[in-house]
Amino acid sequence: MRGFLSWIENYIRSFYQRIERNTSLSEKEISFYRIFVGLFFLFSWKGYSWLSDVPPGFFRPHVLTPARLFDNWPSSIYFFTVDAIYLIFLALAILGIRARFAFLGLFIFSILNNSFVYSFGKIDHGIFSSLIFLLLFFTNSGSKYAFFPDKKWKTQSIATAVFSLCLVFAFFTAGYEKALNWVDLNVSTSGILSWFYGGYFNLDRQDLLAPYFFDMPLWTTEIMDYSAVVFEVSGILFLMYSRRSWHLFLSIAVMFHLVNTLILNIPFLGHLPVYGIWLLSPFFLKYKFSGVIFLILLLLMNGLTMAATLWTITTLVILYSWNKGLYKKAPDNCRG
Amino acid sequence: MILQTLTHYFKEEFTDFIQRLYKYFWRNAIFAVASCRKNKLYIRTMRKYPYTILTIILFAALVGPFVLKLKNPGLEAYPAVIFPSGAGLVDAKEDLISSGSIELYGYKNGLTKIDTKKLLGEIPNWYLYAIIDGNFGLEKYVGEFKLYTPPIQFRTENYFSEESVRETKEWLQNQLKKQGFQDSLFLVRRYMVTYNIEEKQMVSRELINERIFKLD
Repeated sequence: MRGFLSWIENYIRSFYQRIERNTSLSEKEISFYRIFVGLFFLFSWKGYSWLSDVPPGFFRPHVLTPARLFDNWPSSIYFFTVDAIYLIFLALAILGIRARFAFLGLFIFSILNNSFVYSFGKIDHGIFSSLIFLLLFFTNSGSKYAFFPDKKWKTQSIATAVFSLCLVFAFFTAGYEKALNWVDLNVSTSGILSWFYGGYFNLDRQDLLAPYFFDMPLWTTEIMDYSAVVFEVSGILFLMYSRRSWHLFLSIAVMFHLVNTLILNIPFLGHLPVYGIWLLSPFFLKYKFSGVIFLILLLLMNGLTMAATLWTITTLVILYSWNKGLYKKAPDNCRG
Repeated sequence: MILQTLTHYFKEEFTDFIQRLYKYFWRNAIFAVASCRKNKLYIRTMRKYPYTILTIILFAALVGPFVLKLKNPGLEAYPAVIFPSGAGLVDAKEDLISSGSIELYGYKNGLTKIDTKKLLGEIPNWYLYAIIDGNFGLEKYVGEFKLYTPPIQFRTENYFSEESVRETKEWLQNQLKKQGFQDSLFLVRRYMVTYNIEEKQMVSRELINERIFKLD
């Protein structure tokens, strides 16, 4: 039995080590990226205090959420306090003062308070905007470019590997149900048009390239359906194969979001810093002040135009990084 | 002399005894949780097979909530690592596509469409359907979700009391007034809209259902 367990353990270890090799980041990259993540969330931050103005009749949390422990929205004092503490944590994380502690606080606060945001009877799927804080907690992101550097932990590479596994699993959850319905070999049905028409006529998602989507032939939407399914369920293969294939998967994800923003008007901007961990951090480290462009756009623009611009710039940065070979090399501290 | 030797001996022995007792106490205090055999076994297993344990925990944390959601969307948990599937389909037989549509109306120089983004204020407008499903909090909502294996029934309801209804009505009245509507009532209409995708125009617009929410 012990021999069998050891064999399984070794097998699983090699599995994780392969992922660690494909996803690992240098301490310099992640530390510099910490500042960008902090500023990104600071500049795009809406806070929670708007919830204090919502009428009590709208409080209808799902069965399995932390908000279910409450009868009603918490008081306005609670939300103002939360906002203040959240900002303090963000400032600590950006400046690198007990950054690890700050990221743990941000993770707990965002999970708990997002459960109130999702108490209108609908759960949104921005979990990675919270999980990124947990990832940064386990990495050595506070060990460099910090006023009071954190002590180094040995968990960075395994945390990055687990985070990337979570990301491909999340894509799989979206692709699994689509695969059952969308892959029907019937050109007269369309999944993407279901998203498009629902949003266009019910939620006024009629901006950017949305009006031009009516001109698309039906067979092209069928191809888009199948492409979306293949992309979403195959993440684990890209993750396991090589470092380059993992970066390729993330690059496709960015373009997928760019298309979603332009056509379906669904920005999902919270995912930008998540993909950016691997796609933007090498670029930001090489060109130290390039991240400022993203932050200025966050400040100056808003809504869909800003999201589309940011996804477009990210795509350009990715193309440049591929061209310059910035994604090639695994950092020296990688064990895999 | 003998007495001094004995006293010294006992002193040393006593000191040694106290020190050993002290060490024993702290060692047990620190490992109190791991003092029983079972816990020692768990810790040993975790140290010996960390990747296996990590995989089991990860599997439960990721797959568990996803399976629950697949069994019943009402049982979707948060926090959970799940992305939106939106696996719906539209059928485009003979170049015609039908899609449901919800519109809100109020009275302002006759029946006029309400701008839902302005009505909801800071609430993101994609929560509108969920808020309508919950009857804007003006009526009692009870949702029941069943799992057959294992047989568990979950129940959820909105926050509903006389005070909550009054406060919610006041809020809705204010939001309607801001857009210049009468604050006594508003309507929720569901339409089935059919488009001809070849000609790129609407073919029909059928009223399926209408509900009136009185705020007096």
